[in-house]
Amino acid sequence: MNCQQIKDELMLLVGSDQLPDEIQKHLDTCDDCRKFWSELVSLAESMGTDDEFRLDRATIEAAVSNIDRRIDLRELDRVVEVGASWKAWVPAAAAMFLLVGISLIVYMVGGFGDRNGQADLSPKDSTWVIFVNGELDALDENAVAYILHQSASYEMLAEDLTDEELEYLENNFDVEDIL
Amino acid sequence: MVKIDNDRINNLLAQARQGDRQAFSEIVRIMMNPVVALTYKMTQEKDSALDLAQDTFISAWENLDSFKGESRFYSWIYRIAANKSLNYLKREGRKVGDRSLTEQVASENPARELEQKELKGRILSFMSQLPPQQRLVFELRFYKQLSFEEVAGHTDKALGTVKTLYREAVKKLREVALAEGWAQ
Repeated sequence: MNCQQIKDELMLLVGSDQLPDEIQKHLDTCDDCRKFWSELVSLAESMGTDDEFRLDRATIEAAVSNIDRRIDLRELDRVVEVGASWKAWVPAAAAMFLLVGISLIVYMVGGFGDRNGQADLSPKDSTWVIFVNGELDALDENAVAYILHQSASYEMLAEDLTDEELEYLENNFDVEDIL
Repeated sequence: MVKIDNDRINNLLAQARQGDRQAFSEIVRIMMNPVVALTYKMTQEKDSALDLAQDTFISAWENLDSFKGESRFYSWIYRIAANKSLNYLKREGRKVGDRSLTEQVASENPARELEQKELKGRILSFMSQLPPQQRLVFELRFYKQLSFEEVAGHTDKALGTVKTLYREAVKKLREVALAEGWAQ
């Protein structure tokens, strides 16, 4: 290695305790590089050590307590967040419970007016009957809504329904009663 | 030059991983000085340095599971502290703040205290000459005695880049030292 390469290496070795043999040998024979290294050693000494940045015990203990407290707060926040997310479902669950309860009541009341064991398919009641039976999905809802609201007299031409709607009604209801 | 008992840290770490907060507090006690030294030399602001050090340990606690033991634990902590310091500098812009942390140095010997303050002032003056990335690389390599490979890993830089940054830092510091008459 030439002197410049040695100096480049020496700069990387600032702070190291030992020099590689090859570099040490070069320093033994080269005044310029030896002076350069001496300056770097002096620089390293001027840079001090981490020991110069020693906090007193009280400051460290205060920091430890503060870290402890902040971790506690964060963990508490997390618990609250979990609690809050659970609570967010309460109104929805209550609404659902209420809806099912009302549906059940309507179903039972509607049941007294059955005709041959079938619920009375007045517009309002038939909706509840279908709902309580758990049969109302998006398609069903469309079909029933169409029947109940598009036709004031509840008379519906089969050709006004889509094939899917008609098939659903045929499979699930006495279509004659509805149309 | 920082001396940390790696075995002791590892024992405490194993307990902390089980949720033992006292063991973690003990790690904080052991590592607070070197971490503050890093954040202080990076920011040169007393309050920010202490805040960043505390943030470092809180992040460490919250991410203990992500420490896979591929590096030494204290070196992992330095990485967190380094990232927090760089982010802080980026957020706040480069500025040299107060240096009053030196006033908190415990010393019953006023002469020694004065000497320490002087040396710290000099160190901070040196460090303030360097751009953040060079400062960080110099801090991790020179003060924390991490290998160049570790520094590269912690700073997400190529080994060659880290060596260049370190060399540039030393070159700049040497020039300042010669100009100030600190290095003969």
